[in-house]
Amino acid sequence: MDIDDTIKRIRNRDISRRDLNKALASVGLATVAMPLTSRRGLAEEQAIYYTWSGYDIPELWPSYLEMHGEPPETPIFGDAEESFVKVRAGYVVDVMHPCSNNVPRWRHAGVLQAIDVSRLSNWGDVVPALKTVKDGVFGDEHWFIPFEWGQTSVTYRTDLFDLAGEEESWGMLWDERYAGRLSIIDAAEDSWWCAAIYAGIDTDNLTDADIQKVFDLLVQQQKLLLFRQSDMTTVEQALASGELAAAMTWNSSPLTLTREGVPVKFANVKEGALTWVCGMVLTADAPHYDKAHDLLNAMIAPEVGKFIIEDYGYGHSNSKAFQLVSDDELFARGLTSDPMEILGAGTFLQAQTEDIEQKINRDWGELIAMI
Amino acid sequence: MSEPTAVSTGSGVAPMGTPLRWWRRLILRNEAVRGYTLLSPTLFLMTLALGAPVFFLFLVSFFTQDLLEISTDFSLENYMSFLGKENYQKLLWRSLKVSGFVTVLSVVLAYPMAYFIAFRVRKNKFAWLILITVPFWTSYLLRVFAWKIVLGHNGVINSGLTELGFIEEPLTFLLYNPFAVVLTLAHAWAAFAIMPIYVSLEKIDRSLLEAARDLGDGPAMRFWRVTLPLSMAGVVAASLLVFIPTVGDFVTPTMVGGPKGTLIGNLIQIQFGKANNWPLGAALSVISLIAITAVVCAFLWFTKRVRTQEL
Repeated sequence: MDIDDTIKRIRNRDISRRDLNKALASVGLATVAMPLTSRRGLAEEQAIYYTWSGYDIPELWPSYLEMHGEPPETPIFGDAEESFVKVRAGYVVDVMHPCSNNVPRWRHAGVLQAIDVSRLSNWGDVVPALKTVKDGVFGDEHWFIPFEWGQTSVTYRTDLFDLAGEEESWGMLWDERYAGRLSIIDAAEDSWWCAAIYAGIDTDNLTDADIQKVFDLLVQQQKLLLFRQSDMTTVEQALASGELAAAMTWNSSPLTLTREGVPVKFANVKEGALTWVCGMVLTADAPHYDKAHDLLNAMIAPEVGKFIIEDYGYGHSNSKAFQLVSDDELFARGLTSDPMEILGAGTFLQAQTEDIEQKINRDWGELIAMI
Repeated sequence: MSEPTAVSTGSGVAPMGTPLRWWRRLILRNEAVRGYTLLSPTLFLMTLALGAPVFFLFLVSFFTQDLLEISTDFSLENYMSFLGKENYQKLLWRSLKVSGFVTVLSVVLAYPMAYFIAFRVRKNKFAWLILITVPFWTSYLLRVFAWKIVLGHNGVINSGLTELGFIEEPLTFLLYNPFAVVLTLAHAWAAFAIMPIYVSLEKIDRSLLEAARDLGDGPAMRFWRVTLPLSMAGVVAASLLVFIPTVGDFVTPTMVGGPKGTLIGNLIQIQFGKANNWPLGAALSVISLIAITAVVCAFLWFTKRVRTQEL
């Protein structure tokens, strides 16, 4: 049946119902059958990278995209402990993104497996001190690929927060004058440790009395807080609007705010900042073992490091990345080309015994019930 | 196919060969069995999806957790820690109070809307009902966020008042406190209050209202003595529909509550997450379950008393 011929017949009402139905049925059948004949093969499965929001962008894995044509899957978590609990409960992923202090406990829980660094062509360029970061290496096995590193300190509005001649200090977040205009990060990993630094306790040998002392400080601080932020956008907006006078942040926030012309400063606290290195771990039952390694390698490439430094303001683990960024740009971010200058200067976030970690996490849970 | 003689009607015990016939007879004779058979798909789902989880929650609440190990030895430790910690009790009390305010606010706001649709709207009632649900076509999170924009430091209210010169400094009591939680929840659950009240108002026999007028009641007395008592069923249903789910809410307090607006749901959530203490979380859930049940029972008892006294 020719199409023009059919149209003509319909127009002239010179078509039987049976013929019209036949024509319609053939069109319907063709429509239904079309995807069957021309469908491409199902998209190949990609590595699953369970991460923080903001780490799910293509800039972080250019070489992976090149190799596999598709980005990895990137489900997102609110904080690392949440991802751990979910993966233990049976959520299947390949790569997760904790900080180094979590690795021993996660490893002990049987969630992780060692990473074959011989498959990572960029591994040789990784800063040696980060390669061998204490919590990531067991024997001669690497269980952790360092990615970004930085500091946690106080970001404050230079026009709103009056230091009154005092030095910059963690005490700024306990300043009664700014009650209701302060905030901290809603994670024990940051906030508990910063309170510990402020308390002046020896974080290498924590005792029950020390933990109690930190808890009391946190209870005292609770009344002064406007909120505890679980995402950096909230705190950056609140600092920009002047709702907050000072807040605990990572070193990316002051960079973002300064770019927007907000008068803020990342305090060089006298007690020392909290320094940390975060990165990737491989899950014990990773379903895409090979692709996961491709992803890990893609993420520690120098050009990814350049992006992390320039856009996020964090340090990166690849030493060559620092050569791609000018010294001025590094300085503006509070970085130097030698990560150890910064990581060594503050208190480094490191794993504690499991008992102590449990106490800290449960204290943190207890704290939200403090009215 | 089966021999009719195989079933002796008087014996009461069916022979093994004919279970189907035995079942049919049971159904025909016993009304309760018929009812339960009809209900069985729902009952099965309820047992599986609601009964079993609640039972396990109850069970886990008597366990203890150390690190990653959950010890299944019977222990009252979690319940004792609730009784021993004044803060936990205060938090539960605050949650009940906040939900109480949310319930009152949403019912009070929903009643006039339901009344309007039931009595004043003559045409296209259905369209009006759909219109009421329009704000609920967006995600719950987006609605909470919208309130953040309205109440925020340089949000709609603050910038508006500053522009008009009423205030110099932005008002700080709008966001990050229990007030913001109450307001947000009351808005988020409004539709659940409007619908049952509307249904009960719609059902009222209009001749009763005419009778009240003929017998000399003014509009106010007529509402008080006829409309309100007859729509009480809807008000009670609306109150329960709003009160019960809001006690355990943790999303709204997380986003607009700040430390002052934390509710019991936040404490429970943190036990299943960061604090990694599932048994304590389970015990807290069971305790709030009991508290909610107690409040609901007291409420039902009270409304029943009020209604029977009036009649």
